[in-house]
Amino acid sequence: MKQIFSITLAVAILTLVSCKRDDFKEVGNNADFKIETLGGTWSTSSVTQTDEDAIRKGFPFKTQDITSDFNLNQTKISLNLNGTNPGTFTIAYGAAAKLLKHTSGNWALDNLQKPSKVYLINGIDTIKLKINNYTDLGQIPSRLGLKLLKSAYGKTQLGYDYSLTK
Amino acid sequence: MKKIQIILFMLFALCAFNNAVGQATAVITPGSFTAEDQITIRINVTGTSLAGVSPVYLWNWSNLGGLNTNGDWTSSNETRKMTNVGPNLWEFSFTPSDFYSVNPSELKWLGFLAKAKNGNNGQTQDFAPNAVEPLIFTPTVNRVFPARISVNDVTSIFIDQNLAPDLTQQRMTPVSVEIKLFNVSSQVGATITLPLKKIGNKYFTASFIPSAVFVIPATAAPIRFEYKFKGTILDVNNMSVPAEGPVYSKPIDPLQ
Repeated sequence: MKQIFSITLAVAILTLVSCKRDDFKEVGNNADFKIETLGGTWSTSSVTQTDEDAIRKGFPFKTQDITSDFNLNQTKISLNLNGTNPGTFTIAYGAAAKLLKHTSGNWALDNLQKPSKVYLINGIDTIKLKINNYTDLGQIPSRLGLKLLKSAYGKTQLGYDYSLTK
Repeated sequence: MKKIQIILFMLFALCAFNNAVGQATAVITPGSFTAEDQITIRINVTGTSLAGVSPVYLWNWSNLGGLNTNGDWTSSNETRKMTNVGPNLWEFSFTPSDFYSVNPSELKWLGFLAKAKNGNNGQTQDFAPNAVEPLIFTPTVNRVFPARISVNDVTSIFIDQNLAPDLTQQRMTPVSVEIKLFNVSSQVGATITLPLKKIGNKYFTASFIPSAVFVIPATAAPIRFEYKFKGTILDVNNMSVPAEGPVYSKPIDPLQ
């Protein structure tokens, strides 16, 4: 009887100790990313300029929509795939201001599984675009948010938020 | 009489000495800054008693007084050693509120000079006061968005006549903004005029990208632009006559 009690107690303790909440699976950006969904031609819906200095200081006038003044909705970014890897890119500006500077080159990601940046590489000049979100990559239409950040004096000073659709 | 001659000679010698030892020049970047912005002070000591001296040290003070961390006048603290960036050219970077270990809102202006480790062996003149921008937003009649821009960035100029401090800018019907680009010593490209767009009650704006509207030679390095609002105003006979506001200046930053 005593043995049964001991065994029961041990099983109970083991059960309690081994009871542990499962780790949540990663959601959102990390779980959903497939590089195939990035490939293709992205059209610009809007571009918002951000004053990172004003955001940091809590000043008013933090953002401004500059899409129409500079015809930025005519910007089209084509990201071509090389198999399941990033390949070449082209940017057609139309009448839009060339804020992204490059028109062609190779593109890359900082991490193929969990990317946070897209690199547009032209020779030795690389434009780094922060990925704001890609949770809607699988939607129709697909949506992608990219941000070009510029720095000086040891801090980010301004940014351009591109809202893209495909 | 002889004493007067000696005194006159000494005064002459002093003047001659002062003329022989030139003035240093100092540049702070960015041109406008708050206590929480990193700044770089660059001092050119060519032609001064510090010319050829190495190393050179920065000596700081502010509206709050001196700074204990400078060290002694005859033996500067090693943490104040400046970086040599060219012949007689010295730099030092810091964030004022951290550097002075004070509440950012307390700093109103900064002062500094460059010196040899022993200040008796050479120093520049004082560079003070250098205004520290307030950490609160101050609405003004003119505004540029965003705060920091390079020649390749979208730049928007605003005039809010509701905040105009003078009668001309209050009463004027703004039509355009005239913009000039400058490098250190001269104007770059031609003067441009952009139409103003009304976006509210007595509130107008114009946007541009400097590199797209100015012809900037590859060797030019623009550091600022100047702008003024132009329009019309009614004179005493109720006739519309040309009018313009004051000239405003905006630094151009090395954004990357």
